[in-house]
Amino acid sequence: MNTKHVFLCFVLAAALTAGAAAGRPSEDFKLVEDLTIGGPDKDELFLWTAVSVDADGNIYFADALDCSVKKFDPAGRFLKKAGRKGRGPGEFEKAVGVAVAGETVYAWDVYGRTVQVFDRELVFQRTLTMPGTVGAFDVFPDGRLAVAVRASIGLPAIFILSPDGTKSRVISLADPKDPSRIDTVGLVADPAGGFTLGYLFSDRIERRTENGDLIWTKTPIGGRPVEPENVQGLRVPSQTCVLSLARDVRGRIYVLGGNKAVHPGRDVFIFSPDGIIVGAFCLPEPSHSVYFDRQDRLYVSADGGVTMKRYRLVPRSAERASVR
Amino acid sequence: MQSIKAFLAAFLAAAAVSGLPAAAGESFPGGRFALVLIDVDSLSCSPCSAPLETLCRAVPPSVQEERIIGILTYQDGRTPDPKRAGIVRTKWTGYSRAGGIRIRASVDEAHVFNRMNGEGITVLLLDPSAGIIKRWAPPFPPGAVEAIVRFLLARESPIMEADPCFR
Repeated sequence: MNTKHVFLCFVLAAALTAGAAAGRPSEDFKLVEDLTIGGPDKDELFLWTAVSVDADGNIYFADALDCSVKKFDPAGRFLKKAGRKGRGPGEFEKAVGVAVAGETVYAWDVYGRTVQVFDRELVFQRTLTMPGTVGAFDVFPDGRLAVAVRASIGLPAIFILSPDGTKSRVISLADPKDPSRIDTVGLVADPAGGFTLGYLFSDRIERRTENGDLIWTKTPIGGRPVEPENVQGLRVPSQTCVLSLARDVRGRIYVLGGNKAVHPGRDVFIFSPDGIIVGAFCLPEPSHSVYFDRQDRLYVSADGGVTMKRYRLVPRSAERASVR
Repeated sequence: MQSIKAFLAAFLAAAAVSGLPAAAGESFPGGRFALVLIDVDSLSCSPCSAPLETLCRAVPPSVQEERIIGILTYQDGRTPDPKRAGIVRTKWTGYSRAGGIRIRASVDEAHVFNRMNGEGITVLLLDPSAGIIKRWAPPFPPGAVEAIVRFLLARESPIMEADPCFR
């Protein structure tokens, strides 16, 4: 981390601390790196787009550039790769998502209307057909699927599906006040039911029940509206707000800010399950994604997506206490 | 044109791409070839990288290896950055391997080709005697890919005058 980054992180931490009395984050964190996979001039990851970790600590990546899903052991050693370029069963044009649940590995493609299903050994099992292109995906503990599906350029809908892909519920996100609104969402399923959404082009995260009822909504980046720009006659958002969402084992929601944030791709805001902002930190370099495993270790990208770095989060309050 | 030839010669020599049709010097011995300028950030975008894949499907693998030079450009940075160059090389390795692409490519660390390449790819056809004789950026007009293939396969034969795509 260079001097400028250290300074910017300090400024952010100071601002967050100063804002605590006004309901802003009260806790910040030190990141302790404990694993790196890939890197420049290494042939391991070419542009990883999503990561998921199984119960044994094995790490799975979706890699958009070599059209695959890859598995590494808990120490970061490469084990296996599945998939190849194509549109057939087990194939990808640009793999953009992976989620491990129990013995099953789900992976999906950009603009794809299917989800490819593998076992934990990355042996292809079957293809699930989705009702539209898959934008976000997560799995409930009982195996049901929560999928953000887009049928047009507008807002997606959330489909709750059985493990075999059978539809059980559809939750529309359409905005009656702005039916032409364009946006896309990140999604994390709540083990107790319900889910949290983060909007890429709106400064908004929201928690909903499984029926779609709104529980709370927050503006993690500061609430300033995103100005649209005119692209070929279409007014489209010009800045990103929520790049990625993650959930830790305590149910806290981590929000990675986009270029609307002070430090694009680096500012991470932490919300309690009931929507109170409880902390924040700044990544050493921009990431497109945040993810937490069952041991509350943070996975982020570095080097433009050819590297994965894993961190432990140490609250600075705990660090100060140990020094005393 | 002379300055572009000198520029390309210097780039190719500095890039140390072995076995290329133009090894060094201001002339380009060894026949015609194509430079394909590739914005590496476009590789992760399906619509942006589709023209490159179309071109590579049309050109036989052996011709890709022998007569096409890939130059990987990227937008950020003004000065040579070995780490960034390594990232670009790594992305190209993954992309080309997955797509069966046989073009050999070097990173434009000095950003000399950035102003010639927008977002996506640009194809430059070069002749040892004439320098750059055609430049295309997608979307390719009808017949352009076929004309590129004919150009690369014809090597020394004077096809330009007869080929409407080169007028």
